[in-house]
Amino acid sequence: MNELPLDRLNDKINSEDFSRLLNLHIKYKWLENEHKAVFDLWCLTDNDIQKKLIEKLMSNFLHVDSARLNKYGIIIAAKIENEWNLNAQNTFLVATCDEREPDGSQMLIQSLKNKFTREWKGINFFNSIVVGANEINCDSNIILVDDFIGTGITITKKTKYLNETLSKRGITNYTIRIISIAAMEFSIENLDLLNVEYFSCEWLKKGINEHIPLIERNIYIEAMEMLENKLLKKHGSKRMPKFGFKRSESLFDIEAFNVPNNVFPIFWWPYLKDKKERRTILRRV
Amino acid sequence: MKIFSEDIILLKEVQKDIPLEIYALHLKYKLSPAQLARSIEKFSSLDIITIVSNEYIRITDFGKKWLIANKSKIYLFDRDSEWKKIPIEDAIESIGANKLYKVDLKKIDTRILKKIEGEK
Repeated sequence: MNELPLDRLNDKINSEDFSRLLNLHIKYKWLENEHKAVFDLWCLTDNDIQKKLIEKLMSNFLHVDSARLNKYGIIIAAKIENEWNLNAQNTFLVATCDEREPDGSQMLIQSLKNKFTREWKGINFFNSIVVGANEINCDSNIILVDDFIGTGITITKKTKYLNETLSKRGITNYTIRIISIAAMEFSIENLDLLNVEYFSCEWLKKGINEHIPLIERNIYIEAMEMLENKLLKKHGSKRMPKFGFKRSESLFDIEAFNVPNNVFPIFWWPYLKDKKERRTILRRV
Repeated sequence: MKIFSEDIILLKEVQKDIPLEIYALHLKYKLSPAQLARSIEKFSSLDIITIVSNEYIRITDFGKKWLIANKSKIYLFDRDSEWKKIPIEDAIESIGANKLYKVDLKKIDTRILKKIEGEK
Protein backbone atom coordinates (compact mmCIF):
# COMPACT_ATOMS: atom_id res chain seq x y z
CA MET A 1 0.00 0.00 0.00
CA ASN A 2 1.20 3.47 -0.89
CA GLU A 3 2.39 5.28 2.23
CA LEU A 4 2.32 8.72 0.67
CA PRO A 5 -0.45 11.29 1.00
CA LEU A 6 -2.88 11.41 -1.91
CA ASP A 7 -4.41 14.60 -3.24
CA ARG A 8 -8.05 15.49 -3.15
CA LEU A 9 -9.80 16.25 -6.42
CA ASN A 10 -10.06 19.83 -7.57
CA ASP A 11 -13.61 19.35 -8.77
CA LYS A 12 -16.56 17.20 -7.93
CA ILE A 13 -17.41 14.35 -10.26
CA ASN A 14 -20.76 12.71 -10.85
CA SER A 15 -21.91 9.74 -8.81
CA GLU A 16 -21.63 7.22 -11.66
CA ASP A 17 -18.03 8.12 -12.56
CA PHE A 18 -17.05 8.30 -8.90
CA SER A 19 -18.44 4.87 -8.19
CA ARG A 20 -16.69 3.29 -11.20
CA LEU A 21 -13.37 4.94 -10.41
CA LEU A 22 -13.69 3.89 -6.78
CA ASN A 23 -14.26 0.30 -7.87
CA LEU A 24 -11.20 0.41 -10.12
CA HIS A 25 -9.08 1.62 -7.20
CA ILE A 26 -10.51 -0.95 -4.80
CA LYS A 27 -9.95 -3.83 -7.25
CA TYR A 28 -6.53 -2.82 -8.56
CA LYS A 29 -4.54 -1.33 -5.72
CA TRP A 30 -1.49 -0.70 -7.86
CA LEU A 31 -3.40 2.09 -9.63
CA GLU A 32 -3.17 4.12 -6.43
CA ASN A 33 0.40 5.10 -7.30
CA GLU A 34 -0.82 6.79 -10.47
CA HIS A 35 -4.28 7.84 -9.38
CA LYS A 36 -4.09 11.18 -11.15
CA ALA A 37 -3.22 9.45 -14.42
CA VAL A 38 -6.15 7.06 -13.90
CA PHE A 39 -8.42 10.05 -13.47
CA ASP A 40 -6.99 11.72 -16.58
CA LEU A 41 -7.50 8.56 -18.62
CA TRP A 42 -11.08 8.40 -17.42
CA CYS A 43 -11.55 12.02 -18.44
CA LEU A 44 -10.24 11.16 -21.92
CA THR A 45 -13.29 9.00 -22.52
CA ASP A 46 -16.38 10.38 -24.24
CA ASN A 47 -18.92 7.64 -23.73
CA ASP A 48 -19.89 4.61 -21.71
CA ILE A 49 -18.35 2.09 -24.13
CA GLN A 50 -14.94 3.74 -23.79
CA LYS A 51 -15.27 3.64 -20.01
CA LYS A 52 -16.30 -0.01 -20.15
CA LEU A 53 -13.31 -0.68 -22.36
CA ILE A 54 -10.96 0.75 -19.74
CA GLU A 55 -12.65 -1.36 -17.05
CA LYS A 56 -12.33 -4.49 -19.21
CA LEU A 57 -8.67 -3.81 -20.00
CA MET A 58 -7.85 -3.23 -16.35
CA SER A 59 -9.54 -6.48 -15.37
CA ASN A 60 -7.17 -8.40 -17.64
CA PHE A 61 -4.07 -6.35 -16.92
CA LEU A 62 -1.12 -8.24 -15.45
CA HIS A 63 0.76 -5.90 -13.13
CA VAL A 64 3.80 -7.54 -11.62
CA ASP A 65 4.80 -5.97 -8.33
CA SER A 66 8.01 -6.77 -6.47
CA ALA A 67 6.41 -9.62 -4.47
CA ARG A 68 5.11 -11.26 -7.62
CA LEU A 69 8.42 -10.70 -9.41
CA ASN A 70 10.11 -12.51 -6.55
CA LYS A 71 7.66 -15.38 -6.90
CA TYR A 72 8.32 -15.63 -10.64
CA GLY A 73 12.06 -15.64 -9.95
CA ILE A 74 11.64 -18.67 -7.70
CA ILE A 75 9.52 -20.42 -10.37
CA ILE A 76 12.15 -19.72 -13.05
CA ALA A 77 15.02 -20.97 -10.89
CA ALA A 78 13.05 -24.16 -10.10
CA LYS A 79 12.32 -24.67 -13.79
CA ILE A 80 16.00 -24.41 -14.70
CA GLU A 81 17.38 -26.49 -11.84
CA ASN A 82 14.65 -29.07 -11.24
CA GLU A 83 12.81 -29.53 -14.52
CA TRP A 84 15.48 -28.81 -17.09
CA ASN A 85 18.07 -30.30 -14.69
CA LEU A 86 20.70 -27.78 -15.63
CA ASN A 87 23.57 -27.14 -13.27
CA ALA A 88 25.88 -24.29 -12.47
CA GLN A 89 28.95 -25.88 -14.11
CA ASN A 90 27.92 -25.20 -17.69
CA THR A 91 24.73 -23.13 -17.63
CA PHE A 92 24.65 -19.42 -18.34
CA LEU A 93 21.75 -17.02 -18.08
CA VAL A 94 22.13 -14.22 -20.59
CA ALA A 95 20.10 -11.00 -20.64
CA THR A 96 18.94 -10.11 -24.13
CA CYS A 97 20.11 -6.52 -23.75
CA ASP A 98 22.49 -5.51 -26.53
CA GLU A 99 22.38 -1.76 -26.32
CA ARG A 100 24.08 0.92 -24.30
CA GLU A 101 20.90 1.61 -22.38
CA PRO A 102 19.79 -0.74 -19.60
CA ASP A 103 16.61 -2.73 -20.18
CA GLY A 104 14.15 -5.06 -18.46
CA SER A 105 16.17 -8.20 -19.22
CA GLN A 106 19.06 -6.86 -17.13
CA MET A 107 16.73 -5.93 -14.27
CA LEU A 108 15.28 -9.43 -14.40
CA ILE A 109 18.63 -11.18 -14.45
CA GLN A 110 19.70 -9.15 -11.45
CA SER A 111 16.60 -10.21 -9.54
CA LEU A 112 17.12 -13.87 -10.57
CA LYS A 113 20.68 -14.14 -9.27
CA ASN A 114 19.80 -14.88 -5.67
CA LYS A 115 17.05 -17.41 -6.47
CA PHE A 116 19.42 -20.24 -7.32
CA THR A 117 21.24 -22.69 -5.08
CA ARG A 118 24.66 -21.80 -3.71
CA GLU A 119 26.60 -23.46 -6.55
CA TRP A 120 25.47 -20.71 -8.87
CA LYS A 121 27.87 -17.77 -8.94
CA GLY A 122 28.09 -14.40 -10.63
CA ILE A 123 29.84 -15.97 -13.64
CA ASN A 124 26.65 -17.85 -14.50
CA PHE A 125 24.91 -14.58 -15.31
CA PHE A 126 25.59 -12.20 -18.20
CA ASN A 127 23.87 -8.84 -18.31
CA SER A 128 24.47 -8.46 -22.04
CA ILE A 129 24.01 -10.83 -24.96
CA VAL A 130 27.04 -9.27 -26.66
CA VAL A 131 29.33 -10.21 -23.77
CA GLY A 132 27.70 -13.61 -23.39
CA ALA A 133 28.03 -14.45 -27.09
CA ASN A 134 31.70 -13.55 -27.01
CA GLU A 135 32.65 -15.30 -23.76
CA ILE A 136 30.61 -18.50 -23.50
CA ASN A 137 32.51 -21.61 -24.54
CA CYS A 138 31.70 -25.09 -25.91
CA ASP A 139 29.40 -27.54 -24.11
CA SER A 140 27.25 -24.83 -22.57
CA ASN A 141 23.57 -24.44 -21.81
CA ILE A 142 22.61 -20.90 -22.65
CA ILE A 143 19.37 -19.43 -21.36
CA LEU A 144 18.27 -16.18 -22.95
CA VAL A 145 16.36 -14.13 -20.41
CA ASP A 146 13.87 -11.38 -21.20
CA ASP A 147 11.20 -9.84 -19.04
CA PHE A 148 8.57 -9.86 -21.78
CA ILE A 149 8.11 -11.42 -25.20
CA GLY A 150 5.65 -9.48 -27.33
CA THR A 151 5.60 -10.50 -30.98
CA GLY A 152 8.62 -12.78 -30.68
CA ILE A 153 10.45 -10.77 -33.35
CA THR A 154 13.06 -9.36 -30.95
CA ILE A 155 13.83 -12.69 -29.28
CA THR A 156 14.14 -14.26 -32.74
CA LYS A 157 16.73 -11.65 -33.71
CA LYS A 158 18.60 -12.16 -30.43
CA THR A 159 18.67 -15.94 -30.86
CA LYS A 160 19.97 -15.59 -34.42
CA TYR A 161 22.65 -13.14 -33.28
CA LEU A 162 23.74 -15.54 -30.54
CA ASN A 163 23.91 -18.50 -32.94
CA GLU A 164 25.86 -16.50 -35.53
CA THR A 165 28.36 -15.08 -33.05
CA LEU A 166 28.99 -18.45 -31.40
CA SER A 167 29.36 -20.04 -34.82
CA LYS A 168 31.89 -17.40 -35.92
CA ARG A 169 33.90 -18.12 -32.78
CA GLY A 170 33.86 -21.83 -33.58
CA ILE A 171 31.78 -22.71 -30.54
CA THR A 172 29.89 -25.97 -30.94
CA ASN A 173 27.79 -28.29 -28.85
CA TYR A 174 25.63 -25.77 -27.03
CA THR A 175 21.93 -25.47 -26.44
CA ILE A 176 19.83 -22.34 -26.27
CA ARG A 177 16.68 -21.97 -24.21
CA ILE A 178 14.47 -18.94 -23.66
CA ILE A 179 12.85 -17.74 -20.46
CA SER A 180 10.55 -14.81 -19.77
CA ILE A 181 8.22 -13.53 -17.10
CA ALA A 182 5.39 -13.03 -19.57
CA ALA A 183 4.82 -13.62 -23.26
CA MET A 184 1.99 -13.03 -25.68
CA GLU A 185 0.29 -16.22 -26.80
CA PHE A 186 0.54 -15.21 -30.44
CA SER A 187 4.35 -15.07 -30.15
CA ILE A 188 4.37 -18.90 -29.95
CA GLU A 189 4.22 -18.94 -33.74
CA ASN A 190 7.60 -17.19 -33.90
CA LEU A 191 9.07 -19.00 -30.90
CA ASP A 192 8.30 -22.41 -32.40
CA LEU A 193 10.27 -21.50 -35.52
CA LEU A 194 13.40 -21.08 -33.39
CA ASN A 195 13.44 -24.77 -32.52
CA VAL A 196 14.54 -24.12 -28.94
CA GLU A 197 12.90 -24.88 -25.61
CA TYR A 198 11.15 -21.91 -24.05
CA PHE A 199 9.32 -21.12 -20.85
CA SER A 200 7.22 -18.19 -19.73
CA CYS A 201 5.65 -17.77 -16.30
CA GLU A 202 2.56 -16.19 -17.87
CA TRP A 203 1.00 -16.39 -21.33
CA LEU A 204 -1.09 -13.37 -22.26
CA LYS A 205 -3.96 -12.89 -24.67
CA LYS A 206 -4.53 -9.79 -26.77
CA GLY A 207 -6.47 -7.22 -24.74
CA ILE A 208 -9.37 -6.77 -27.14
CA ASN A 209 -9.22 -9.33 -29.95
CA GLU A 210 -8.62 -12.33 -27.70
CA HIS A 211 -10.46 -11.26 -24.56
CA ILE A 212 -13.66 -9.67 -25.80
CA PRO A 213 -16.32 -11.88 -27.42
CA LEU A 214 -16.67 -11.54 -31.19
CA ILE A 215 -20.21 -10.19 -30.96
CA GLU A 216 -19.10 -6.98 -29.21
CA ARG A 217 -15.46 -6.82 -30.32
CA ASN A 218 -15.90 -4.27 -33.10
CA ILE A 219 -17.55 -1.78 -30.75
CA TYR A 220 -14.55 -1.94 -28.44
CA ILE A 221 -12.02 -1.77 -31.28
CA GLU A 222 -13.75 1.39 -32.44
CA ALA A 223 -13.75 2.73 -28.86
CA MET A 224 -9.99 2.19 -28.62
CA GLU A 225 -9.46 3.86 -32.00
CA MET A 226 -11.43 6.87 -30.77
CA LEU A 227 -9.31 7.06 -27.63
CA GLU A 228 -6.07 6.73 -29.59
CA ASN A 229 -7.27 9.48 -31.94
CA LYS A 230 -6.92 11.84 -29.00
CA LEU A 231 -3.20 11.10 -28.76
CA LEU A 232 -0.37 12.55 -30.82
CA LYS A 233 0.42 10.24 -33.73
CA LYS A 234 4.11 11.06 -33.94
CA HIS A 235 6.52 12.74 -31.59
CA GLY A 236 9.97 13.46 -32.98
CA SER A 237 11.04 10.29 -34.73
CA LYS A 238 8.74 8.10 -32.65
CA ARG A 239 5.37 6.98 -33.92
CA MET A 240 2.65 5.98 -31.52
CA PRO A 241 2.18 2.22 -32.05
CA LYS A 242 -1.57 1.81 -32.48
CA PHE A 243 -2.89 -0.92 -30.18
CA GLY A 244 0.75 -1.47 -29.18
CA PHE A 245 3.72 -2.50 -31.34
CA LYS A 246 2.47 -4.62 -34.28
CA ARG A 247 -0.99 -4.43 -32.70
CA SER A 248 0.12 -6.65 -29.83
CA GLU A 249 -2.66 -5.35 -27.53
CA SER A 250 -0.59 -6.27 -24.48
CA LEU A 251 -1.79 -5.66 -20.94
CA PHE A 252 1.35 -6.10 -18.91
CA ASP A 253 3.89 -4.24 -16.88
CA ILE A 254 6.44 -4.88 -14.17
CA GLU A 255 6.58 -2.37 -11.36
CA ALA A 256 9.50 0.04 -11.81
CA PHE A 257 10.41 -1.44 -15.23
CA ASN A 258 10.07 0.39 -18.53
CA VAL A 259 6.70 -0.59 -19.98
CA PRO A 260 6.94 -2.57 -23.27
CA ASN A 261 5.73 -0.69 -26.36
CA ASN A 262 3.46 -3.69 -27.05
CA VAL A 263 1.10 -2.32 -24.39
CA PHE A 264 -1.85 -0.18 -25.54
CA PRO A 265 -0.48 3.37 -25.84
CA ILE A 266 -3.38 4.90 -23.89
CA PHE A 267 -1.54 3.61 -20.83
CA TRP A 268 1.87 5.12 -21.59
CA TRP A 269 2.03 7.40 -24.68
CA PRO A 270 2.75 10.77 -23.09
CA TYR A 271 1.38 13.27 -25.63
CA LEU A 272 -2.09 14.44 -26.51
CA LYS A 273 -3.10 15.36 -30.04
CA ASP A 274 -2.49 19.05 -29.33
CA LYS A 275 1.13 18.16 -28.31
CA LYS A 276 0.41 18.78 -24.64
CA GLU A 277 1.93 16.28 -22.25
CA ARG A 278 -0.40 13.97 -20.36
CA ARG A 279 -0.04 12.02 -17.14
CA THR A 280 0.15 8.30 -17.85
CA ILE A 281 -0.39 5.25 -15.67
CA LEU A 282 2.77 3.63 -17.04
CA ARG A 283 6.02 5.09 -18.32
CA ARG A 284 8.29 4.33 -21.20
CA VAL A 285 11.59 6.05 -21.96
CA MET B 1 -0.68 2.04 10.58
CA LYS B 2 -0.32 5.39 8.90
CA ILE B 3 -3.28 7.71 9.25
CA PHE B 4 -4.00 10.30 6.58
CA SER B 5 -6.37 13.24 6.64
CA GLU B 6 -9.00 11.31 4.64
CA ASP B 7 -8.88 8.52 7.24
CA ILE B 8 -9.77 10.98 10.00
CA ILE B 9 -12.64 12.37 7.93
CA LEU B 10 -13.95 8.89 7.15
CA LEU B 11 -13.75 7.77 10.77
CA LYS B 12 -15.47 10.91 12.03
CA GLU B 13 -18.29 10.57 9.53
CA VAL B 14 -18.80 6.84 9.85
CA GLN B 15 -19.17 7.09 13.63
CA LYS B 16 -22.71 8.33 13.17
CA ASP B 17 -23.71 4.69 12.79
CA ILE B 18 -25.95 5.05 9.80
CA PRO B 19 -24.85 3.61 6.52
CA LEU B 20 -22.61 6.36 5.19
CA GLU B 21 -22.75 7.02 1.47
CA ILE B 22 -19.20 6.95 0.13
CA TYR B 23 -20.04 9.43 -2.60
CA ALA B 24 -21.22 11.90 0.06
CA LEU B 25 -17.65 12.03 1.36
CA HIS B 26 -16.50 13.05 -2.09
CA LEU B 27 -19.21 15.69 -2.41
CA LYS B 28 -18.53 17.15 1.02
CA TYR B 29 -14.75 16.99 1.13
CA LYS B 30 -13.73 16.39 -2.53
CA LEU B 31 -11.95 13.23 -1.45
CA SER B 32 -10.75 11.38 -4.54
CA PRO B 33 -11.73 7.79 -5.41
CA ALA B 34 -8.10 6.77 -4.77
CA GLN B 35 -8.11 8.33 -1.29
CA LEU B 36 -11.38 6.70 -0.35
CA ALA B 37 -10.47 3.33 -1.85
CA ARG B 38 -7.30 3.24 0.23
CA SER B 39 -9.08 4.35 3.37
CA ILE B 40 -11.96 1.90 2.96
CA GLU B 41 -9.56 -0.95 2.22
CA LYS B 42 -7.49 -0.08 5.27
CA PHE B 43 -10.37 -0.03 7.76
CA SER B 44 -12.44 -2.82 6.26
CA SER B 45 -9.43 -5.17 6.31
CA LEU B 46 -9.21 -4.44 10.06
CA ASP B 47 -12.96 -5.05 10.45
CA ILE B 48 -13.45 -1.49 11.69
CA ILE B 49 -15.92 -0.71 8.93
CA THR B 50 -17.93 -2.87 6.61
CA ILE B 51 -18.94 -2.15 3.02
CA VAL B 52 -22.68 -2.23 2.40
CA SER B 53 -23.84 -2.74 -1.20
CA ASN B 54 -20.71 -1.16 -2.76
CA GLU B 55 -21.93 2.36 -2.15
CA TYR B 56 -22.25 2.63 1.61
CA ILE B 57 -20.05 1.90 4.59
CA ARG B 58 -20.98 1.24 8.19
CA ILE B 59 -18.94 1.06 11.36
CA THR B 60 -18.81 -2.37 12.99
CA ASP B 61 -19.28 -3.08 16.70
CA PHE B 62 -15.59 -3.83 16.91
CA GLY B 63 -14.93 -0.57 15.06
CA LYS B 64 -16.86 1.42 17.66
CA LYS B 65 -14.78 -0.07 20.47
CA TRP B 66 -11.59 0.36 18.48
CA LEU B 67 -12.35 4.02 17.88
CA ILE B 68 -12.99 4.69 21.54
CA ALA B 69 -9.82 2.87 22.52
CA ASN B 70 -7.72 4.74 19.98
CA LYS B 71 -9.44 8.09 19.77
CA SER B 72 -6.60 10.10 21.24
CA LYS B 73 -4.03 8.42 19.04
CA ILE B 74 -6.12 8.85 15.93
CA TYR B 75 -7.36 12.36 16.42
CA LEU B 76 -4.45 13.94 18.23
CA PHE B 77 -1.08 12.32 17.93
CA ASP B 78 -0.36 9.61 15.40
CA ARG B 79 -0.76 11.74 12.38
CA ASP B 80 1.85 13.17 10.08
CA SER B 81 1.26 16.85 9.61
CA GLU B 82 2.20 16.92 5.97
CA TRP B 83 1.79 20.68 5.91
CA LYS B 84 4.58 21.01 8.46
CA LYS B 85 7.12 19.26 6.27
CA ILE B 86 9.44 21.62 4.40
CA PRO B 87 10.03 20.69 0.76
CA ILE B 88 13.67 19.79 0.09
CA GLU B 89 14.07 22.70 -2.32
CA ASP B 90 13.00 25.19 0.38
CA ALA B 91 14.95 23.68 3.26
CA ILE B 92 18.09 25.39 4.59
CA GLU B 93 20.78 24.01 6.85
CA SER B 94 19.54 23.71 10.42
CA ILE B 95 21.12 25.84 13.13
CA GLY B 96 23.19 24.04 15.76
CA ALA B 97 21.92 23.91 19.35
CA ASN B 98 24.54 26.29 20.74
CA LYS B 99 25.01 28.53 17.74
CA LEU B 100 23.99 32.14 17.83
CA TYR B 101 21.28 33.14 15.48
CA LYS B 102 20.73 36.61 14.19
CA VAL B 103 17.65 37.45 12.24
CA ASP B 104 18.28 38.83 8.77
CA LEU B 105 16.07 41.89 9.04
CA LYS B 106 16.11 42.47 5.32
CA LYS B 107 14.33 39.18 4.75
CA ILE B 108 11.43 39.94 7.06
CA ASP B 109 8.21 40.91 5.42
CA THR B 110 7.38 44.10 7.33
CA ARG B 111 4.04 44.73 5.70
CA ILE B 112 2.20 42.94 8.49
CA LEU B 113 3.92 45.16 11.10
CA LYS B 114 2.89 48.24 9.24
CA LYS B 115 -0.71 47.07 9.23
CA ILE B 116 -0.61 46.44 12.95
CA GLU B 117 0.58 49.99 13.46
CA GLY B 118 -2.34 51.19 11.38
CA GLU B 119 -0.19 52.40 8.52
CA LYS B 120 -1.77 52.32 5.09
